[in-house]
Amino acid sequence: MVALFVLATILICITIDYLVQRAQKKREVYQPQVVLSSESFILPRGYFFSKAHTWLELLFSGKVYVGVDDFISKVLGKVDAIEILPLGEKVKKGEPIFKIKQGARELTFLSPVTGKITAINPNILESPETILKDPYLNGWILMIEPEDVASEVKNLLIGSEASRWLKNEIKRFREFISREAPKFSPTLEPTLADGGLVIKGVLQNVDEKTWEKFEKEFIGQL
Amino acid sequence: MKIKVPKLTFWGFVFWIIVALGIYSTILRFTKGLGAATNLSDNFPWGLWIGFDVLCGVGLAAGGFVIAAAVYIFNLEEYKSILPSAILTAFLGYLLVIVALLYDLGKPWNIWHPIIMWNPESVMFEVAWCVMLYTTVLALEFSPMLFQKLRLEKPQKIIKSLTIPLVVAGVILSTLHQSSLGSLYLIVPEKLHPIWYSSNLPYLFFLSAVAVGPAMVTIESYLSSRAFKREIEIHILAKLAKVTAVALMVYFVLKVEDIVNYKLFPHIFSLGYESLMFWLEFAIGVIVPIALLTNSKIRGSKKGLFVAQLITVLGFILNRLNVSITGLENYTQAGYFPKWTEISVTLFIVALGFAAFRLIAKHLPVFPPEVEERKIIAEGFEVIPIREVFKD
Repeated sequence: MVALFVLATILICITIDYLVQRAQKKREVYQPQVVLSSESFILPRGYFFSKAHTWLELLFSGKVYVGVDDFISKVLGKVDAIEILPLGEKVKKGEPIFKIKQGARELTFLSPVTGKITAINPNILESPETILKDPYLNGWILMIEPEDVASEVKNLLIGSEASRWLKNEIKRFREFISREAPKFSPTLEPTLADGGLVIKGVLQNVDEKTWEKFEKEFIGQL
Repeated sequence: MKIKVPKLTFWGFVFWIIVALGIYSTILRFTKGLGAATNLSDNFPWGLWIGFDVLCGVGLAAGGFVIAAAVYIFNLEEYKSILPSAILTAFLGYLLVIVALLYDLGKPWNIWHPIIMWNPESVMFEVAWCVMLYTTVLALEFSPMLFQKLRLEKPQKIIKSLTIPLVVAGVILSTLHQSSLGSLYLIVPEKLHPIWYSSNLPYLFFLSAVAVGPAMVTIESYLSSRAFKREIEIHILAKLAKVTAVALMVYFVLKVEDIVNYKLFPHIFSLGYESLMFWLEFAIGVIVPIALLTNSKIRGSKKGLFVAQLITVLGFILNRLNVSITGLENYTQAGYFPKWTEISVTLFIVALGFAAFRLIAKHLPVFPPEVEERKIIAEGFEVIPIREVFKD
């Protein structure tokens, strides 16, 4: 009986621990999904950011990985496909480089640097939702070999500068949604006025006009 | 001035309740004696404290010598990163075994007697010396972490130069100790139930300890990764799981040999309490872990590996309790069940182990510093640092 008692005690402890962990996890997952504030965006300290919400990771070789930032992945909420310029293509800074599709709509992103596309993330074509779950690691979209790294990085943001800019962008986005919300969702507007809460994936619910305005105002220029 | 009170978690709350009850039981044990604090009797002198705290404690600390042997004797350098935590687990395990012995010994102040009052004919003499020497070896193996923290370079160098002799001594002593705990039960052939009595007991104890060592290292890694928010070394632990599987397979063969040689079929198929306990032990301690750990998919998954190794540990605990308690119940007819104070002391000792591990791991370099993970892409030779992310 003693052996069974010891075993039962251990199993009870494990079960309680599992339930405690599950409850904790639920709380952790729940919060960032509902509250959209500057605290809930991830911003890598060592990445460069363009003002059109793309990030760059500078590699050993001088080439850069490019992806979209956490702000885009949070407000999008859903991605159906990503269309990228072909491998080997030369791109100029400020020119369209890839499109993120959500149903029939799409957002066109601009190249943050001038250079040649040297790699495309094969996984992202198969599972585009990776940019939502893991925008900074496995969610890289393409690799570019810039013509002149030194001059390119001068116009990009990093560290505390990027942090300040992102906080400002979030504020700007709140204002944008507050302004546009009454046109497509009368229920969203009071929530915004109350505590400034914006539901994750808000772009899924906006109308065509707001979508286009978002594209123009947030990712339309570097 | 505001005093910041740390937030009490659920397990933190449970810990302090266990500590409070443990202190009460300790005072009772050392002021009123074993009779007041336990349900032990002359007829049944070894209960939960020996069965669980000592026999299971020693076995569960086996990760230390298994990993040390892998790194320094078999030169498997890849296991080096998990060695300090395995050594710490073993060191704490042995210290707590000694603490448990102090509770269980009728005259704990005589614990040092085997040092000068030699009785080489006794298995207990071997056990006592193995515990003393191996705990010393573990303390020395653990000391570099302390020296590193205190920036004492000279002692660190001295210990480093002694690493190989220490590891060899550690492996020999643990082998002797793990098996001698099995030998301990060879002296009670008429008392121990035939299902568990076997001349192979020392080998069976040693093999099951080799199997459970990596299992404990896996569980400790899993819990530490959760507590300290660090990445689990799944590729190392998956390889280590093969050691458990192979040791259990050899154990399986030896146990089957026992069943055949000792003609145990009528006992194990008798549908009695002992046979049911044996089948439960054999299923969760041997058959299920072998089936799970020989599957590469389960070994490669964090959760799968944790569950499989947890089952191994549970099976191991059941085995030691079956040998030390279940197997003796029929002969003694003592109807032993631990008093609540016995249970609270055991919980107290386990809780102290967890707290000490947490405290030491927090302040000493038990885990290797988190190296920035790197991935190599197919094109060219770029090595891309995967950066640290922070929540702004």
